[in-house]
Amino acid sequence: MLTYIAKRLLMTIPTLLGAAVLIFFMLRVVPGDVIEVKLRGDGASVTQEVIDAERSRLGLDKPLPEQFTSWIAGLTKLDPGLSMWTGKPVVDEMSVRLPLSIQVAVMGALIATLIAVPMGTLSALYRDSPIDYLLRIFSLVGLAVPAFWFGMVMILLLLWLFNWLPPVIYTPFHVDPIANLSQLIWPALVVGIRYAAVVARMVRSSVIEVMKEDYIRTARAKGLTEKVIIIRHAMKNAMLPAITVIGLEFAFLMGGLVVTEQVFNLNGIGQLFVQAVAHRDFVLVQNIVMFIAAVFVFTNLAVDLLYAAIDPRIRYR
Amino acid sequence: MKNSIWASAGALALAFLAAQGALAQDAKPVRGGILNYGVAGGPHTLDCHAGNSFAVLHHLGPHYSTLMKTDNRNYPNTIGDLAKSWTISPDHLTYTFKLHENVKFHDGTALTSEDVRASFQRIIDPPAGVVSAWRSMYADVKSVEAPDKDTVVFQMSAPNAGMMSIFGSPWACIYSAAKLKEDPKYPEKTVMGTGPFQLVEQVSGSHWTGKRFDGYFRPGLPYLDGFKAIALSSTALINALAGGQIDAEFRGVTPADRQRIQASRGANIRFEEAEGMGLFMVSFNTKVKPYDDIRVRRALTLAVDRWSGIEPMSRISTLKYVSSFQRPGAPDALPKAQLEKLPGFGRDIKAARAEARRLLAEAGVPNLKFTLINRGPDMPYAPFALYLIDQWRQIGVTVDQQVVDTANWAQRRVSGNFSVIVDVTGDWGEDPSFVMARFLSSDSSFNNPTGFSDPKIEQLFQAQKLEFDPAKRTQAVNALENYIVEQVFTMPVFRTVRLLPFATKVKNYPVVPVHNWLGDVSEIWLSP
Amino acid sequence: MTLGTMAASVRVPSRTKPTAWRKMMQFAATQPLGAAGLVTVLVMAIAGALAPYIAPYDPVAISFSDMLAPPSWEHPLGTDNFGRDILSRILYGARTAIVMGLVSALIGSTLGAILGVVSAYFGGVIDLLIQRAVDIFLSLPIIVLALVVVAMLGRNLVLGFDFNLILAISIPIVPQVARVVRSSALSIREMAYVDAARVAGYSTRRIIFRHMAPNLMAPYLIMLTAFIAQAILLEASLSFLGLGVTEPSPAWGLMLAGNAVDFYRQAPWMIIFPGLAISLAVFSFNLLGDSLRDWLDPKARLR
Repeated sequence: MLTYIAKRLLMTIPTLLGAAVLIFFMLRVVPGDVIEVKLRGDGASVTQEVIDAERSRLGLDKPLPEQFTSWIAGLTKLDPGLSMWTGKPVVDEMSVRLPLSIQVAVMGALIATLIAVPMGTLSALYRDSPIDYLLRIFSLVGLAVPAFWFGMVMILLLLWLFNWLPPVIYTPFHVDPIANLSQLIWPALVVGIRYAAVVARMVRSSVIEVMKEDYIRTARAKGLTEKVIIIRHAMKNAMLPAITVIGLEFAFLMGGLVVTEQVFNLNGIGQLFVQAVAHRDFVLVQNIVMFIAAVFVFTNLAVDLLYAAIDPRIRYR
Repeated sequence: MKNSIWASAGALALAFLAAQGALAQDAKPVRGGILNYGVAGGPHTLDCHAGNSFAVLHHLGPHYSTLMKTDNRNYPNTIGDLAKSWTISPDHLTYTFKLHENVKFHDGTALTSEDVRASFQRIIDPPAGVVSAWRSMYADVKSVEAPDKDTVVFQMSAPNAGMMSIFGSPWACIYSAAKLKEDPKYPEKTVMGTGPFQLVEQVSGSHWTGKRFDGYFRPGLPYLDGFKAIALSSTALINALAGGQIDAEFRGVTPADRQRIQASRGANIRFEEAEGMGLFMVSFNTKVKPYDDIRVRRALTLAVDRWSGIEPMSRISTLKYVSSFQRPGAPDALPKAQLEKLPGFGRDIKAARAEARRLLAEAGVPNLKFTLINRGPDMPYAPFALYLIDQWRQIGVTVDQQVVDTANWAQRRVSGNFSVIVDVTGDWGEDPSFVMARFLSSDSSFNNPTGFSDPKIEQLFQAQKLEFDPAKRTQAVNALENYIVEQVFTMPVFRTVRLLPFATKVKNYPVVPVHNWLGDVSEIWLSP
Repeated sequence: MTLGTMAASVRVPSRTKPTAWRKMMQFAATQPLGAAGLVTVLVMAIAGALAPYIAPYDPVAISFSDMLAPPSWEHPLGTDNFGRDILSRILYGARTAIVMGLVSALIGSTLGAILGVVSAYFGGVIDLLIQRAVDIFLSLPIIVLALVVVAMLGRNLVLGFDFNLILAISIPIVPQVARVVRSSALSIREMAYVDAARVAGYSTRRIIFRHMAPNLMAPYLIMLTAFIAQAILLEASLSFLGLGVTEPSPAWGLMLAGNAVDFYRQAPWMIIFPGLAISLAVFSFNLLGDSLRDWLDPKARLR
């Protein structure tokens, strides 16, 4: 088991390195960099010497491989560098925004699980009934509605009906729980409903599969009540693939936050990413992408390990 | 009895009139309160000298003083900020400023002329590693001296009629000479000036708070206890204004936004406006055929019906004025009669378009096709380009738009990687010596992307620069502007409006055309 | 079990293979939801294809006199802030959405399928390399990858459609498909008939295309519908962020971008209809895919 974990951990390194190379070179293919936006963006005029001096100060005139190696070297020392746009350390820029994104993601996941698990189970148990159709349609609608449109409409409805807008500044939960929740419940709902749709479908098919298994038939033959069968035997086993999906989708959620944070104007990692791309702040974009890639990779790993830990059949493969 | 009734009636009438009179006067400023306002962007630098975008000054402005400042009650005149009085030598080569005496920095140290000298020195001749974005404006300054602790003297190498305006630049924040000596880059990390407010905290991407500086050199000011600047995307900004979470914004909103905000906040919000400084133009790359042919360029400007288009454009975007390079209300603006004779600004669009078609045919490109490079996705670039494309279609010219982001746009513009590009100005002031400087020939101006060179432009520019008599200067500027519009290497089309929202409790902020400068926040007060 | 399936199961097997028409009818009978999805998709595709003929107005024609008009006989879905007819823009937008969605999904799925099959069939170093690359791409969220590709490539119009955008949308699909197809192909590879074919001396190409591929068709088709839905959604999101289709091309996401939000009180139809269109398209494709899966999955038939 330990060797399995160690092997998997080691395999993440080439993946992350590959992602680093990919994102680094992809970004620099386009003409135009952060200097242009900073010093020439607003229609004002700056001399070429100033531009060249800034470019040299930010190290943008060095050959690409050298820029890459200094970045990676910095990463190993846990110093991702300074944002090209503000000059502040990347670590500072990201750590200010991370709690918000994580909170929205976790709240979204909670909402999703609370909705999806009962929904999917009911759907599976009352298969092909009107309830099943209704819940399946709800799932599909949840997947089909674009998150940005949903969020947009939500805000506009709040403004139109109640003349009220969620607070625009983030307050951490421990400082003022009401302000915090009244701001973050809306994006969490938007993100959570989509998430719920995916998980519900997984739970449904998983429960259906489990209910067909022989041991369920045996339990029924033994005379156990349906309720006991469902709760004690079926759910436990059905939850396994569901947990996998919940875990994997969490990582996908980080991608979904990019658009949601735009719509709700949340000062999170997603919005930082979009702004950094617009500013051509290569350093910030690279590091955010690496961070998200690392989250993905390690979430996948954690889910795999969890699966292996719970399901003894897999361990001995 | 009758007498007393009349007497009381008279007394009542008098009291009533007196009350009316009192109401008619301005209410007295009240001290206290926090002003919450929104900014559509975070500052990318904390160093005024390196900044050139509104987002920088909308945050830094309240913390710093400058030598001179724009008089926002008598725009565009300049008055003294740190300067108490000044004299100009008859040959316009020496400017002597006397400073206020009791000015303190936020850390308690006193301001002397050395601080002013060192700050300007930093702008004019920046040490290694310091970005001085506005250096070129001070090209004519030969030296800055501080002969005694209250006096600063500027020696010019050549006279410049716009110099007093240039001294009023909001970007020339005065820093502490002592701290600059320790670390010339200290303003990039620390906000410490002599302005009416002190920095309390700034959370990147979220908000920026300041509180009253009790040692501010103007007695009784500022009225506000503090302010909070909140970073918001443009849509969120409007939502926040509509939802009552912010009470002001200093860059400007669109008329559609205004309707939306008004619908939510009703009587609690008012809007004030002024002509803006955002001029939207089209620049041609005169080194690329057929834009080297003035007939083609003239045709393209003649085709655009500016006067009819501005009304609908003003309803859906911030573009509200038909304008040439000077703002219509500027002291040196072209008189309307003169403007309407210039290509593209005439009132008879039918004739203009017929002429345009004729010119294109003559130039050999009757069915011209090209790609317009536009910037996005901000407003009002999209409606601007859409309108132009529609207008050009009417003379048989087919245009396809390519929208690129700001970095790409700026880079393409400078490197000449375009045939026709949407161009924009956003100057911080009116003076022709810097507003018109960008239209100098490409080989002498670093901001003329068109590749067009003509010594006559330099000639006319120098003429206005050396003309100190206001009436004569206006004529010289008109001549310059006339000539540039006729050459059509850059064609001006529409100008923005600066439409500002204020909660009704926010008082005493005169709106001026300039949007990248925050203006004087020390005199704002909130009614209880 | 519906009456339809029962009837089908007792039918005397015909000598000829079931025609496509008959298959579709069977599908419609057993999967009513899926049929509804298919019909909606076809209607959208046809409406989009015929847009130049059935759209009442030119979608890019500006008409300031008709700005922000509510739905009426002249403008069934109203007009936007430039006076452009929204119905026409939705119809042309259907064209953009379905072409972009279809082409991106096809390119992505096909490339991914080829990679997956090659990876599974050859194994060894080739498999390892391909899987590493797939891992790397899979570690980046779809929108992040698409965003960077779009920022990187700019615009490249081919026949009126932005080919670089299509590329940006297809790239995230490739690794997803490669992964799934590889595991399917791996299980098939072990099957007896592939061994038999190899022993019989058939060429690799023949084995892949004539023996393995047909059995992968079913999962491929199902995945394709899911990815068309994903592609449509991704294109809408990118256009909304200002990085996808640009003005004045009509695209549903683009109609919601910019300051469309500002007109929500004066002209709510500007926001409602494009959002509904996107939702309907994605919903129909997902419905179709779901029903296809239920119908094609042999195990499910044994209910």
